[in-house]
Amino acid sequence: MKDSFNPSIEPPKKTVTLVSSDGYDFEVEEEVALESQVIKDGFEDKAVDDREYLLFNVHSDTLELIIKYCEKHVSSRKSISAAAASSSSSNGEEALKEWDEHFISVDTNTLYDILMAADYLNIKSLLDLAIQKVADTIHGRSPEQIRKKFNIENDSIIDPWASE
Amino acid sequence: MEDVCYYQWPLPGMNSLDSSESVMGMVVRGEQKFASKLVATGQVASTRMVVLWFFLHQIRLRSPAGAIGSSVGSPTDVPLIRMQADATLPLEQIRHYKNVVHALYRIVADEGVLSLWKGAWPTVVRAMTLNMGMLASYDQSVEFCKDTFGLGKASTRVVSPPEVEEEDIVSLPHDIIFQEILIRVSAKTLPRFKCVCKHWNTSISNTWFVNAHVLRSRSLPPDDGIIHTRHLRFTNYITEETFDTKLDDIISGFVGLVTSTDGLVVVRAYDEDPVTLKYNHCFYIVNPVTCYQIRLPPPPSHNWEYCRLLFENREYCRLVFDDTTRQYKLVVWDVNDKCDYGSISVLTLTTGCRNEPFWKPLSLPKSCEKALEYPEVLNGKIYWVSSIRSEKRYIVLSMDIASEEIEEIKMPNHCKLCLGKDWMLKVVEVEGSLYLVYNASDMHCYIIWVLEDWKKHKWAKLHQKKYVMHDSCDCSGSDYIKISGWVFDGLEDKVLCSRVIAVRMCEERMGSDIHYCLLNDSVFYPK
Repeated sequence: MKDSFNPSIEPPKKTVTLVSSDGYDFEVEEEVALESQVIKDGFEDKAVDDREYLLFNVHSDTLELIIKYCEKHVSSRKSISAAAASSSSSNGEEALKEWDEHFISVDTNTLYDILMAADYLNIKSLLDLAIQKVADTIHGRSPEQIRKKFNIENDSIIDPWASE
Repeated sequence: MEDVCYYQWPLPGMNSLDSSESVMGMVVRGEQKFASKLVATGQVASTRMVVLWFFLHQIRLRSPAGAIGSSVGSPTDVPLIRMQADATLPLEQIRHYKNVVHALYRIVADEGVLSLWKGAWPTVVRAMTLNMGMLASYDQSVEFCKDTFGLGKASTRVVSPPEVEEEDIVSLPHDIIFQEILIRVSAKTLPRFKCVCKHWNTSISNTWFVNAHVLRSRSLPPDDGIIHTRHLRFTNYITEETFDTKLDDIISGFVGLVTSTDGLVVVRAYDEDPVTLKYNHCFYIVNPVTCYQIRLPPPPSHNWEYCRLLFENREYCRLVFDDTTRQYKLVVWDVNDKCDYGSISVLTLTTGCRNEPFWKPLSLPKSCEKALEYPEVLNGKIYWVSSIRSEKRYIVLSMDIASEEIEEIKMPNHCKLCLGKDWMLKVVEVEGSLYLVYNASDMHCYIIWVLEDWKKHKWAKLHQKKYVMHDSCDCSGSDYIKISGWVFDGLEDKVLCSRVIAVRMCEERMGSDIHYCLLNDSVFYPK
């Protein structure tokens, strides 16, 4: 039987291996890894069989979340452009926004981990998402709550309100 | 009974693990740094090699730690197992250990010291593999506890089960907090954060931060709101924060609003002289959100009449933002006592500058009268319509906000715009283009031009319609120029009715259709 009879057989996808700080290997598709600007920048210089990245600042738990995010964004981008090509109406972008909102609704430490990792890997959309989330959570909080949230010691002797 | 409890939690073994692990932990951490340095400096070409090298080191360093720990601990396990199993043994083999010390003594005395390590090797191997996994997170947690709880040696015990309890105690770097997060916090919340700590206080007041925050908030869609003469009310799109205040509450002696941009307002107020008990006029620039206000120095020709004019006529004053220097500038059209000719003065408000701002007079290319209509701001320039009485003509002036240069823009060709009694000439900005709207009753028409060539000042006529008389002109709809006025029937020479003409400017800049209808003062645009 010829290959063409079986459309499910696709050429093997190119993969990249990401190694977390605690030594776990994550094998991801090339375009998923290229969501990170840092990986993209050094990508062409590397040999095809040596596409492995050591991410010393990213823990495996965080890396797993980040890969999940990138995979979702790559796949939904494809489906949105496919929908646009076939001119069928789709609410793909809204669904993705909702998914993002759900994705980023995590506890503070995980959120900070994602933020730092997105900064380190330079994934702009994720960084924006995480930062906006942090900004939203500190909105309208009292200084005491902020100190707690960012782990800051209160060293103010004078109240700046009084000086103005 | 106490002894039995003690056995079931083999503390001695754990203690020995602790000490060996913390030493090893330091070594491993040192190796990690070295490894990352190697990658960074490119000394190791292949990352795979680093991984292999790293893995071998993990085995080399971490497994002996487990081996040592378990081999020290296993002698205490022997009496534990023996005492637990004692009761199940046949009667003649029961050893009758009284407690651990007795058990240890008996084992050593009966069977020799080495018997304490009998069958210890599977435990050692198990501990070696277990250790490799545990150590990966262990040393980090110790550091963390030392730093945050101030626990010294005790922290080693706290983190021995390496899961740390969930608490919001992770610190973010200052760069990220200030350059990314706080820039997104609204101005209403920000002043409160000044009392978080000293560093935040100075950073929030820092010129760089203020400028960055202004630039960011300017790039957002403007708040949906109303600025009434005395009342400010708006809602932020993103945070859905509402803001509602009366200017009287912020400024004592408030008289009225002069101009505003980006939510900053310039207001006029009375100021009572404590000695003479006379009222003086003064001007403030106010941020109603933060209640922060700066008293402005009096404009050059500061007198009662001028202040009344400045307050009553919106066209004399405009607050603008200079994109190149990132400063706000207050541009006023100064008039002399008789109001027959004017000049322009600019006040620059610099962030972070402690000096009092001062007025800088600018010279006009021609001796113009006062500005006729509210100025428009477009592409870094302010546009006014003025007139030169001696030449009996209108003039359009532009001022470059950055360089503060004023130049005259030539009027459309083949068109004589006379100064007359019933006139209306206005520059209107619609979607990035500058339009000139002329509405003359004596010609029974209105004409609209668009500025096509910004350098050569070439206007193109878009639209000319008969039958409209003057009244006012506005562009409050995004792509419409609205002209309200009387509809005049030229044949029968009478006014038909009151109408609002809305000229659509956007469709390929054609000024295509006129939609009009005025019903009970509300305007409808038929599709």
